[in-house]
Amino acid sequence: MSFLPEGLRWYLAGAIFLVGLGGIFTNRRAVGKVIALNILNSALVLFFILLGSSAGDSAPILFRGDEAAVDPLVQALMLTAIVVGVCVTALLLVLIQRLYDATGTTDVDEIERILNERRH
Amino acid sequence: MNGVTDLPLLSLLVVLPLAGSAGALLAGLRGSRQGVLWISGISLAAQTIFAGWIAAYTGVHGTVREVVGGWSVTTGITVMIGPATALVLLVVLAVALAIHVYAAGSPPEGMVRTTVFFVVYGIVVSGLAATILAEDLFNLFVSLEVVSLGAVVLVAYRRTPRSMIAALRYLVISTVTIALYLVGLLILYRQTGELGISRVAQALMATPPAGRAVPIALALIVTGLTTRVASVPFHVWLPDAHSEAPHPVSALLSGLVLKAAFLALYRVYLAFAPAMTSLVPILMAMGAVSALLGVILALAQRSAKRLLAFHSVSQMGLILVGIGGTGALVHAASHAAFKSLLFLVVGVLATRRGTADIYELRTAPAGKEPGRWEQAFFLIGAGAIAGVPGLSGFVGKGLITTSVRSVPFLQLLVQLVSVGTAASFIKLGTAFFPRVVEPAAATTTPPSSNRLAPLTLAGMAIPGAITILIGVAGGIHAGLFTVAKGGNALATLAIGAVLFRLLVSSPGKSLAGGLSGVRLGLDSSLTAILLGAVVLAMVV
Repeated sequence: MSFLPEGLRWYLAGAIFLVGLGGIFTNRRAVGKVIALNILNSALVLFFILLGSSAGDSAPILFRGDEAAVDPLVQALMLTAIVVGVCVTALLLVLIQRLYDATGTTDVDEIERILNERRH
Repeated sequence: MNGVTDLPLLSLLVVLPLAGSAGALLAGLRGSRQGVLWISGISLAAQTIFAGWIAAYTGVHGTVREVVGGWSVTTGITVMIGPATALVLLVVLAVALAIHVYAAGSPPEGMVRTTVFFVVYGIVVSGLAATILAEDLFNLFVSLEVVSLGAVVLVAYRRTPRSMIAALRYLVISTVTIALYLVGLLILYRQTGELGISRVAQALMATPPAGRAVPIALALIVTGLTTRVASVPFHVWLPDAHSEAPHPVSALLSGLVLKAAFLALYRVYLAFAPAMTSLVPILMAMGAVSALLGVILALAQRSAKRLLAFHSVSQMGLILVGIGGTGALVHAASHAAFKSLLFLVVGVLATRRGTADIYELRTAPAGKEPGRWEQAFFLIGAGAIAGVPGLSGFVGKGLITTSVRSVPFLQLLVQLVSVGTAASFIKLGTAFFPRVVEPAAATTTPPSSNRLAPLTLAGMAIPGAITILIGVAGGIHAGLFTVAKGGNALATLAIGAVLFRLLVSSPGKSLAGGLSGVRLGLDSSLTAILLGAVVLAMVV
C-alpha cells in the first residue's frame, strides 16, 4: 500500500465507512443491511490497521532490533473485533431467516407492518 | 493512582459464571436437566458470595484491581472495582441469581431449550461482571458485545416473530452505535496512545489537545454507552426488546443489563468529567428528557410489560440526572432490585392469564385472581418505584433530589416524574387488585391455580428483601425519614391518584391510545440515533 500517500489512505477508508453507514439506511431488505454492517466493520478494521502502520510497516516478530514495526496492539484488537463481527452477522442472519419463514419477506418495514396487522 | 490494592483472582467474578455455563452445557449434552439447573445456579451463587466478599474487602481496603495473567500494568488487561461500585455489583449479581432461581421454577420445556437458556444466561451474567470491572475502553467494548449478543439470543428465545423482530432491531441498533463507539476509541488511542479509561483521561489532562477531535471522540463513546443505558433519543430499541422477551429475560434486561452499562458510563464520566466540563450538563439534560418522556409514554401503555419497559427509560433518566452525586449509584442498585421484582411478578400474572393487557387483567375469573404473595411483591416493587418511604426508591429519589437542589427546574422535574410514576403504578395496580367475576359457565378451574412454585416465590423474595433493606438502612443512614420528605411522598401519591383518574377518563384514554400507537420503524430509529450522535458531537 506504500504507493498511496498517507492522507489518501485515510480518506479511502473513510469512504468505505460512509458506504457502509449509508447502506444500512438505504437498504430496505435486511440482508442488505447485514452486508452494509459488514462493510462498516471492515472500514473500522482498516482504520485501526492504518493507525498501526503509521508506526512502521514490518512485522513485529523475530526482531533484529533496527526495523520499525507496526503497532501490534491494534492488530490484536482487530482480531477480537472481527470475531465479534462474525458473531453479530451469524446471529442476524439466523433471525432474518426465521423472520422470512414466518412472514415471507426480508423487508424490515414490511415485517413490522405485517406483524402489527396480525395483532389487530 | 494511590490507594489501589492488587487483588489476584478478582477476575473470578467473570470466570465463575462462564465455567458454570460450560459445565451446564456438558450436563445438557449428557441429558441431565437437573444438572443444567444446579451447575449454572451454583456457579451464580458462588459468584454472588465472592462479590459479597469483595464488597466487604473494598469497604476496608479501598479500590482493588487485578492485572489478568500477571503482566505489567502498562501492557496487561486490568480489571478494577471501587467500594461503591462493588456494592452495586453485589446487588446486580444477587438479583441475577434470584432471576435464575425464578426461571428454574418454571424451566422451558425441552432439554435443548433448557440448556440453551441457562448456558446463555450464565454468559450474559459473566458479561455483566466484565462490563462493570473493565478498566480499558476496548475490553468495555468486548464485554458490552458479549452482553448484547447473549441478550439478543434470550430476547428471541421464544421464537415468536414479534420477539425476533425486536431482537433484530436491538442487534442492528447496538451494532451501529458500537461501531461509532469504536471510532471514538480509535481517535482517543491515536491522540494518547492509551486504552485504559483513567490513563487516557490523564494523558488528555496532561497535554490538552487542540481542535475538535477529542470532543467528537468522547461524543461517539457517549453515544455508544448511552444507547446501552437507553437515554432518549438512543432508547428506541428498548420498549420492544424488553416487552417481547420472556419474563425472566425482561427482568434481566431492565434490571441488570441497563445497570452494567450505566456503571460503565459512570466510570467514563468520572474519568473524563474533569477534562470535559460540558459532559455533566449534557448527561443530565439527556437524563431529564428521558425521565419525562419515558414516564409520559409509560402512562399511555396498555400492556403491563411495555409500561414497565418505558419506566426503565424514565428511571435510567432519573439516575443520569443524579449522576453528580451518590444518588445515582444508590438508585441504580435499588432500580436493579425493584424493576426485576416488578417484571417477575407481572410475569407470574401474565403467564397465568395468558395476557399482559392491563385492561383485560382488571377483571379476573374466580380462581385465577392474583394471590397474596403476588399482591405483596407488587406492592413492594410499585411502592419502591413510586417513592414510598421505607422502600429503596424513596432513598434513591431523595438523594437525587438533594444532588440537584441548586437547579430548581430539575427538582420540579423529579417531582413531575414521581407524580407520573405514581399514577401509572396505580394503573398497573388495578391488574393486581382486580374485580373478581365468576368464571364462564362450563370452565371450572382448579382452586389451587394461583399457588406459586417455591422457586418462583424464592426468586421474587430476594429482590423484595433487597428493596426493603436498601429502603430502611439507606433511609436511616441518609437521614431521609423526616416529616417533610414523608409528606412530600404522600402528596406525590395523592396527586398521582388524581392524575390516574384523569387518565382513565375518556379524553385521557384517547390521548393515551394515540401516544401508544406511535412506533418508529427501524430506519427512522437509526436516523434518530444518528442525528442524536451528530447533535452530541456538536455540543460536547
